[in-house]
Amino acid sequence: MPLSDADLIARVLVFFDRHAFSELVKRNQSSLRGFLRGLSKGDHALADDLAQETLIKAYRSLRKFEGGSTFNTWLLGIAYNRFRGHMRRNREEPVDMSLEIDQPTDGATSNPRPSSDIGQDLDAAMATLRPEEQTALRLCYREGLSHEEAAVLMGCPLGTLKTHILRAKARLRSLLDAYA
Amino acid sequence: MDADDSKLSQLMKNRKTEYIEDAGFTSRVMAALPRDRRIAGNRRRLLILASLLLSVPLSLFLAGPGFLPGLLAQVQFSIDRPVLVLPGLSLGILPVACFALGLGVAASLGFGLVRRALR
Repeated sequence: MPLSDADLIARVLVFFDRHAFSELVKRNQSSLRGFLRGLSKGDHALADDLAQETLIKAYRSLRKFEGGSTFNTWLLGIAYNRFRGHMRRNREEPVDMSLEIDQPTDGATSNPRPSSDIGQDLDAAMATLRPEEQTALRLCYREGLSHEEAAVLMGCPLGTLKTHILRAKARLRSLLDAYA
Repeated sequence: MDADDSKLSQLMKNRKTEYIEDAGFTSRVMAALPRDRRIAGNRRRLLILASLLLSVPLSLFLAGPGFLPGLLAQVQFSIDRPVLVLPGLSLGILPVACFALGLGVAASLGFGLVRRALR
């Protein structure tokens, strides 16, 4: 019977078991890299670099993981902060425009071409969202976190998180309606 | 609007992300992980011990050729009172001991700083 993530984390903390951490990386790499690829708008190299930084940071701060969320969700929170840090360093982060009306974030990708698969359309539409909007949706819908938990993980006020979700859903709806 | 919202929420919840093959990613992460703290701690202790063992003979050498024979000649050991007595040398030995200790600590700190700079 395979060990749970919690068991593996305990092995890393108690026995300094690097193989256990390797197993954790294997289990979570796809989700983490996929998340960062979405945030970096398909820049796979950047996404993998940030994923690696995220996992090293997670290894160093593993004692701070309190088990309030899944290990994967905790990783996504770290990844989001690493991504924001990277954007700040490179001065590419868009200004928080949560109080402005919806605007496409990128002219080239604002209206991706529809495909025959609604799931692919959704992914394409998600890619046009701002990083904070993508992250908020991802944490609340795919990871099943409450708004409060997602706000804590993203380090933003609850109201801001709700605004991100509302704006993201409005944008997704308009894009998916356009495909229909 | 509510029906649309519910449909969109359901779609997002059910959407499975495409699996990304590992393709050596885990190995790269494991190679980049910081060294095990327990091993690093043991190495540090060994380093301090080795530095001290080396610095004691060095400090005795620096203290002069007559220091050690003089020291041994003045050692008194009594069966009745099994305590090592160093008359007149109790304070004299202090600078040498401090010097040895200082050398050991300085060597280990210096080595740590060099390692950190090279990392």
